[in-house]
Amino acid sequence: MDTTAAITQSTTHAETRQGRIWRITAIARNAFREAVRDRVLYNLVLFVLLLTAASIFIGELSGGQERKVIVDLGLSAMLLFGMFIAIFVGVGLVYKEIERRTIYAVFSKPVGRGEFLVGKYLGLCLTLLVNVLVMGVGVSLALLYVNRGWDPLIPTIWPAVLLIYMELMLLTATALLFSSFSSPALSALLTFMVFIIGHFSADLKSLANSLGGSGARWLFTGLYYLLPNLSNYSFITPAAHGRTPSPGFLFATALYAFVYIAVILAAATLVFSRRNFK
Amino acid sequence: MNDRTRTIALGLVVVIGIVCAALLVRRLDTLRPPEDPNAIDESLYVNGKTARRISLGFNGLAADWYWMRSLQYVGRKIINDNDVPLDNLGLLNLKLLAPLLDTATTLDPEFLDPYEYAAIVLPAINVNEAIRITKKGIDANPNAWRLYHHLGYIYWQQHDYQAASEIYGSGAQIEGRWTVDVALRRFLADAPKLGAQRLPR
Repeated sequence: MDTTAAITQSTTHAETRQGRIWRITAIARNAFREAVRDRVLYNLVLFVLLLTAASIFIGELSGGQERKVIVDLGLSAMLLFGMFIAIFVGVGLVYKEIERRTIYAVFSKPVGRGEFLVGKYLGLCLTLLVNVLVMGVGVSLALLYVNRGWDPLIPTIWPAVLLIYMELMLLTATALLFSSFSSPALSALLTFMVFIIGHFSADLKSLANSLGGSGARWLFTGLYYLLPNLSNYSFITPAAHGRTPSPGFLFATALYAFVYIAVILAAATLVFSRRNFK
Repeated sequence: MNDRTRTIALGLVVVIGIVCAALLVRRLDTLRPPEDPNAIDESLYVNGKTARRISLGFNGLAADWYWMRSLQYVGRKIINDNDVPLDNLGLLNLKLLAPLLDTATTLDPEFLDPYEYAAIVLPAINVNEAIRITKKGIDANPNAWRLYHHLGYIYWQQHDYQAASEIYGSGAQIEGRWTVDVALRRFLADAPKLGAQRLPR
């Protein structure tokens, strides 16, 4: 069932809150199906191969540190693969619909542009959720294999997995924002830059503090607060040492992600609703 | 050309192509000039702080890579120079070992193995670096009693009994410290004849 057909079913509930949720769900479900059909989840095969090879060979190379290396490698690969999916699939979400002209059929139904964007966003988030869950299970199994039984690191990786997922949700929203007004190539480049700058945000703050001129200081302080602070979501290294974030920290990062995603999606809707598809 | 013939022809091109490529690689291996023996000791392009900054959250993985690289570095030198006894690694000219371990520990300050490796292997090469990296490990992991034990031993072997006694004393106050206690007892037994100036209470 394509996006248009799915929406047609849900338009019977037009204008009610339930109807809006139905339409968003239909679009999200379809975006997820499309990602699966595009063989996005094939990256899981690569991930499993990587981890299997690491589990077998890393013990020979790491001087008895295979558990730490497997957690580092597994969670880093999860972030890296997830980032590629978020960027490359995220930037194509809207563009593909415009390119194939299916967007005209979608908007001929009583579907809001915001609903369309949120649905697409949630569909990709669902794809990423399946990805990180399977990868998390893969890392846990690799640890079980290497330790020849239960490993105390297994429960400690899951909060780090949750933080990685939040970071990917932020990146997906950013990719969607850029793709709402520019070409896929430029959107991918800009999103990748946001990923890099997001991990440098602590440096922006120290740069602002070290600058003498008040104008430059204000600029860098402003950028520090404006750009997403992704370094808060890097908990891979502590997880490899068996450390977990406090519930307060997890809650604060989740709240930050929620607020930031809401802002980005609102901005994307604002830009997208002004686009003329005639 | 029908479909079947085309499939067979293309399949043959793939197989023969791979075989030719493999043969060419073998030929290239014989033609390639010998590796520069000094290339293994080429200085690191980035220091630990820069590496941490540019690691984009992958600092743990980068630390693992530097750690494995330092193990391979020592291992390769030992394999290349069969005559060097394992208890005298100073003869191997392992000048890159300290920067490698320093980078690994800057990328992941809680990674204890590189500190321990530095404390055990580096004194024969560069004792000041061994002390510096082990102290760095103690600063980052104040409860890692093994590091106190290793640092005390380095000072002991350097005949700096006062520093050794202080480090053993500090290490002995940490929970799970039994090897430090053993080392401290041995040190106390040896210290009078070695002329230690000050011993921990």
